[in-house]
Amino acid sequence: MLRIDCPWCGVRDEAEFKYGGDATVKRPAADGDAESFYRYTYERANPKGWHLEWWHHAAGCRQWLKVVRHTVTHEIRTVAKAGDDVPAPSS
Amino acid sequence: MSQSHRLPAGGRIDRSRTIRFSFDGRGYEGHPGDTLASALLANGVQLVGRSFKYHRPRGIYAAGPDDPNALVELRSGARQEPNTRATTAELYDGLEATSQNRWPSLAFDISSVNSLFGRFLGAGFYYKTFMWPASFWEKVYEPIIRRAAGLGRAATSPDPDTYESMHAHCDVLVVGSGAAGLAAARAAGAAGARVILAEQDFELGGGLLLDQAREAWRRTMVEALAAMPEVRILPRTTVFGFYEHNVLGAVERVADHLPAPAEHDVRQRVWTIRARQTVLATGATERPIAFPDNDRPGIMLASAAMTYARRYGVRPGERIAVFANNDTAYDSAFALHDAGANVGIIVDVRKNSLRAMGAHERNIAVRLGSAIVGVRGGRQVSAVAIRARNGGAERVIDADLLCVSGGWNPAVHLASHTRARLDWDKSIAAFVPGTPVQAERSAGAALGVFGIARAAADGARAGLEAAAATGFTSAPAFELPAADGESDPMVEAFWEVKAKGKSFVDLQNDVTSDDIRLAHREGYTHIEHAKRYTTHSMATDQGKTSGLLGVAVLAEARGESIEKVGVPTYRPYVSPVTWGALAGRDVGHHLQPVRRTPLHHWHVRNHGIFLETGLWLRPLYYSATRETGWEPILKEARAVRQAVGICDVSTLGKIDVQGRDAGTFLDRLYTNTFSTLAVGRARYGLMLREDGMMFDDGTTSRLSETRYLMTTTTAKAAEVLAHMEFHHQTVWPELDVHYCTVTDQWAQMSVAGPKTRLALQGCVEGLDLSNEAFPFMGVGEATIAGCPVRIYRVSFSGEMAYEVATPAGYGERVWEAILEAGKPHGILPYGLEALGLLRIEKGHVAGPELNGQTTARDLGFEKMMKKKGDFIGRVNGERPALMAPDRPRLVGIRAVDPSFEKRLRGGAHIVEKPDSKASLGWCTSITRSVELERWLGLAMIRQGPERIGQRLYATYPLKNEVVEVEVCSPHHVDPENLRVRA
Amino acid sequence: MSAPERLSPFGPGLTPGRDGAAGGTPVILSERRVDIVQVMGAEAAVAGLALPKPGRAEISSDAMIVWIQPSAWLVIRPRGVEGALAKSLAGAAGTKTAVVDQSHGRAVLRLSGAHARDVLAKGCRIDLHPRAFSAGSAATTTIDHITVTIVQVDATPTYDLVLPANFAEAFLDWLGMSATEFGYEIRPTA
Repeated sequence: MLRIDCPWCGVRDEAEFKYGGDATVKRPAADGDAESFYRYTYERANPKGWHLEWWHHAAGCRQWLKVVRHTVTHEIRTVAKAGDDVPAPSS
Repeated sequence: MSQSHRLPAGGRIDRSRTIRFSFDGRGYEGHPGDTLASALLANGVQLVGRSFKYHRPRGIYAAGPDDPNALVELRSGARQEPNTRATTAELYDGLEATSQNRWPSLAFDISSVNSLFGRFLGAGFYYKTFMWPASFWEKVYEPIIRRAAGLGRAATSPDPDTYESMHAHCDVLVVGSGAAGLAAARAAGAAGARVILAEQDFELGGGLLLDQAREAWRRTMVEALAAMPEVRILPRTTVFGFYEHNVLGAVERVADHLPAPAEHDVRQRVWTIRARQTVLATGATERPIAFPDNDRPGIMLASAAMTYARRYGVRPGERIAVFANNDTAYDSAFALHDAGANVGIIVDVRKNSLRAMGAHERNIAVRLGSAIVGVRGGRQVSAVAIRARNGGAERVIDADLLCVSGGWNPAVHLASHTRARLDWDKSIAAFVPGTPVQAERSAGAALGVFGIARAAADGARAGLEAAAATGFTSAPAFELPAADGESDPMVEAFWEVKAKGKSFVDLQNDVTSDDIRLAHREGYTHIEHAKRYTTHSMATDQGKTSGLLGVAVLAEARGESIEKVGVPTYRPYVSPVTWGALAGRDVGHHLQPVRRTPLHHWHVRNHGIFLETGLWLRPLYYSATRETGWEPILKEARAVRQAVGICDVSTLGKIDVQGRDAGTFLDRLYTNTFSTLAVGRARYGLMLREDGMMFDDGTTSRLSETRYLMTTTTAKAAEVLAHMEFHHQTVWPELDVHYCTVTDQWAQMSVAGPKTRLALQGCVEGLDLSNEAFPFMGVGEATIAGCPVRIYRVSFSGEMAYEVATPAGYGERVWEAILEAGKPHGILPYGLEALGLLRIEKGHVAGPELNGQTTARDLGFEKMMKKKGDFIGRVNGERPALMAPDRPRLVGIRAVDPSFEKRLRGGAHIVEKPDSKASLGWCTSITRSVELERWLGLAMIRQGPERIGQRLYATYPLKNEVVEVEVCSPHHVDPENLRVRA
Repeated sequence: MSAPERLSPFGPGLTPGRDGAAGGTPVILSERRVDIVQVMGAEAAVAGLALPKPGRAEISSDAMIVWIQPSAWLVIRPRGVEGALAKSLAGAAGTKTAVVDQSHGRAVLRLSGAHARDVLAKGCRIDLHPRAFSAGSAATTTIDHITVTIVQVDATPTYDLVLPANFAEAFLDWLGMSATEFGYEIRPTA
C-alpha cells in the first residue's frame, strides 16, 4: 500500500486516492489539431522507473496532485499541487 | 497412562489445572500453557499426520510456526478449521483435533502405497503425466489428485465468528519479543517513541522462555514495557507482510486459544500498521539435514526437543540421539539429559567441537566426523544408523528420538519482502538481511547475532537507532543480561548425507533432494524455476525449515555457491492467514456500505421490492404480495401513460456550479451550449470523454446569472465530479468557478403522466404550473406541505412531467403530499422497472446505450455537437473511423408479432435472415410495451437509421430464440414530443 | 412560514439506548441537529468568518467552521430556520464566494468516550493519537468506504463526524459493529 504525502492533508493511505495516469501530457489548446489530441489521449511513455503521474485525493481534499513515483519500487519522490511546476523525471 | 511423557516438574505450564482434549476421537489431558503438540507429546503421541504426496507417516518436527508436519483439523462443525499447526495451537479445555490427509485411518493409510511408486512421482510428475488430453483435467485428473492430496477439509457452513480490521500508527514497530525485541522495544519506548511490540507466541520472550536463569530479566522487561503508556504489546500477533512505504500487516489471534470468542469479541483481528521505523527481531529458525528417511516420526529439530523439555516439561523421547553440524545442538542434548532423558549419542559431522567436553561430563558419547545415514522403524524411529564421513562400517544404535540440527537461518522473511538484498554470512552459513530498503533494521538472531546477551545488546542498539530516527534521542539506559562468553553456533556447512533412500528437503510438500537434482537435470536450474517445478518451499510453512536446504542441493548440482544460487523471493504471508481475518467485517451485506435515498423508509413501508444499483438500494417496483413477473411493472407504467405516477429519482447526481465562469466551464464540459441558457430554464446536455465517446448525459438548469444546477446519471455522478475537478484544476485553473456535490442534499421525485398538472396543482403553492407560465424545461421554486421545493419541468418518460426536489429531510412529507393530491387522479408510485420501460418506449438513452463505445453521432445526437468553441471530446470525436457510415447507430426495434409469445432479449444480435450468422448489431434495451402492447426495444444497428421500416431478426442463440422485428425510430412513443409540452 | 421538522438521516437506527458489551465504559453517540453550509472561494471574500487553515476547525460554543479542501469550508451551526444560515452567509459573501446549503446533505454524529479512538481505529486510516490529532484538528478521510470529515471537539476525546446523509445509516451500522466490544450508548439528538 502506498502512502502519499498530500500537500494539503499530510500523509494518507493510497485508499483515499484514485490514480489518474500520466501527468506529463498536456491538453492541446482549443485550436489543436487531430494529431495533437490523438497524442494527448493515447500516447504514453509507460516508463520503467520514475514517472510523473496524477493522483486524485478523492476521499480527502478532492485535489488532483502531481506525484513522482517509481514504477518498479513504488517509491514516491515528490507530491505537488496541480499548479506546481514539476519537471518530468528521467527514468 | 495419562501424560506419560510429562516431566515431574518444570516448564511454563500450569500444573495446578488439568484440561481435556481429544485427538482423532481419543481423549487426553494437558495443562494450560501447553500447545496441542506439547500436550500430544506429553501423552506419547508422535504420529500426527500423513504427508502430502506419499502419505508417509509424519510426526511433530518443530515447536512453532515452522513445523512442516503437524497440520491438523481443529474444532468441528461450523468452526472446523483445516491445516492448523499443532505446534502453535494453544490447548484449551474441550479442544478437538483430527489428523488429516489419511484414509481410512492415520495408522493405516491406503495411499501410502504412493511411497512404493515414489520413483514415478518425482518432480514435475503432474506436469508430465496429466498433460493431455486437456479435457481430462477437469473431469478426471483433478478430482483424483485432489482426493489423494487434500490438505484437510474446510467447514461447509458459514463461519459463526466475526473478524475485524484495525489501523495503527507508531514510531517504532518491533517484531518479535525475544531478548533483542524486548530490548529494542524498551529502548525505543524509554526514549518516548510510540512503540508496538508484536509477538506471534502467546508468551513474550522468544528464546528467553527456555532460559530459567534469565527469567527475572525477562519479567522485568515485560513489566517495564507494560508500564509505558505509549507502548502497545500485541501477543498472539504474527506480522505477516512488510509492504511498500513502511506499511506492515499483522494478524492477532484474539480468541483462537478459546473454544469460542467471548460475546461481543472477535476471533481474529488484522492490523495494518504504519510504522515510521521497524525493528525486525524475528529470531532464527533451525534447519534440518537431509538423509534417508529423515521424515520419520521421532525425528525432530534439536531446538524443538529442548523447547518441549524446558518450556512444556515434556520428555519428547526416552532414548535420544543427536545429529548436528554446530554447537547449539549440544545445548539441546544437555537440556534433554538434564530433564532425565537418556541421551545416548551426539553424531557431529565436524572434526572438532569445543562442547564435546560438556557431553563427556554428562556421559553422552560424541561421534565426531560422522553422520546419520539412515533410520530404522516405520511409523516411529526405533534406531539410527551411523557411519564415519570418511567411510567405515555402519553402526546402528537404538533410539526413539533423533534430534537434528543443521544450523540456523535468520528469519529474514520480512526483510526480504521489502526487496532488501540478502547477504551470505559465511560464519553462520546462512543468509542475513542486507542493506535495508524501507525504514527498518534487523536485530539479534534475525541479523545473525546469536546468544541471549549478544542479542539483547543488539536489540537495544536497534531500538535506540530506530527511536532516534523518529526524533526521540534521549533514552535512559536499562539493565541488559550479562554476557557469558556466547559465540556463534560454529556451524560447518553440511546439508545432505548421500546415501540410498528418500532424503527429504521439504517435508510438507514431499520434495526430496533427488527431486531437486532431477529438476536441475531437466533444465530448471534457476532457483525460482526449480522451486516451482518441484514445489519446494511452496507449502504452507513457506519453506521455513527447508528453504535453504533445497538451495544447497541445487547449488551443488550446479557446481556453484549457495550465495550465487540465492534463495527464492520471500513474499507475504510469512505464515498462513485465514480468509476470514482478511475479509474482516466486509462480509455479507457489509461488503460495501448501503446508500439509501431520503425516501428509503417510505419505500420499505410501502412494499418496495429493492435492487442494488451500485451502492444504492432502489425500489424496482411495489408489491404487497411480493409478486414477481411483469404485472406490477405494467400496472405502474400504465398509470404514468394514462394518469399520473411518482418515482424516486433522488439517486441522480446533482452538482451545484457557481461563479462568473460557470457557463464557460459547462460549455467545455458539454457538447452543447449552456452559457446562453436563460435563468429559470433547463437544458439536456451531453458529455463526452476526451476520446470522443459518450460519457454522461443529464439536465442542467440555470438558477441565476452565476449559478447552475447540473444533474448527472446515477451511475456516473462521482466520475463526473472528478472529471470536472480534473479539468478545472489541471487544464483550466483560470476559470472562476466553484462546484460541489449536492446529491445528498435533495430528495427528488419525478411526477409524470397526463394528469400530473392536476395532481400537483392540488399541493403546490407559490408557482403557477400552467403550460403558459411554466413551459417545458422551466425551473421554478414553490412550497409543498410547507416545505420548500424546486420544480423542474423535465421528462424522462415522455409524458408531461415535473421533477420536484426538496431538501432531503422533507422528502417523505413532500412525497406523501403529492400522493395525497394525486389520489383523485389515480396516482401510483412507480419503481425502477417502470422507469426503464417508459424511457425505452420513449427512446431515451441510458447505461446500455452509453456503454463507453458509442459516440454522440451513434446515438443520433449529432445536432447537439456545437460547431464553435472547445469542448472535451470534440476533436477525437470527429476522427474518420467514428464518422464511418457503417457504424452501428441507435434505432428502435419492435416485434412484428403483437402477442407476447416470443420475447426480445437485451444482447440479442440483429440479423437479416433467421439463420444468418452475420450480425448487423445488437439489442441494447428491451421491454414489454404498455403503449404498443408488444415487445420492443432499442438497438445499435449498422446503417440503422437507413434501415427504418426493414424487417430483421433478433436472434439469441443461447436460448435458440429468433424474433422477427421491424426497425423504427427509437421514439416508440410520441415522436413529435407533444406530450411533454402539453 | 417556517418549514416543518426534518426527518433524521440516521433513520430508525439511532434510537436512544444502550447496546453491545455491558460493564465497560461505553462510547456515547448522538446526532447533532445542525445547519451546514459549504462556502467556497477566496478567504478574504467571506466576511466575518474566522476561516481555519488546512486540517483545522474553528470551534466556538455555537458554531464550528471546518476546513475541508483548499478554499472550502463547512460552517456548522445549531439548527435554525430552514435556509436562513445559507442566506445570511450568501449575503455577507463577496461575488467570488460560492455558498451552498448542505444542511440536509450532511449528517453529523457525535462520538465521545475513552474508547472513541479505539472504535474509529477499526476503520479510520489516519492517526488520531493525541500527538497527531487533537481538539481543533479536522480531517476528511474514508471509513468503511464512506467519506467522513472528522473534527475533534475536545480531549475526552469527542469527535464530530460529518457524513454524507445518504450514507448516515450505513455508517451507523459500521459504528455499531465497531463499538460493540466496548458497548455504546445512543443519547437523544442534541
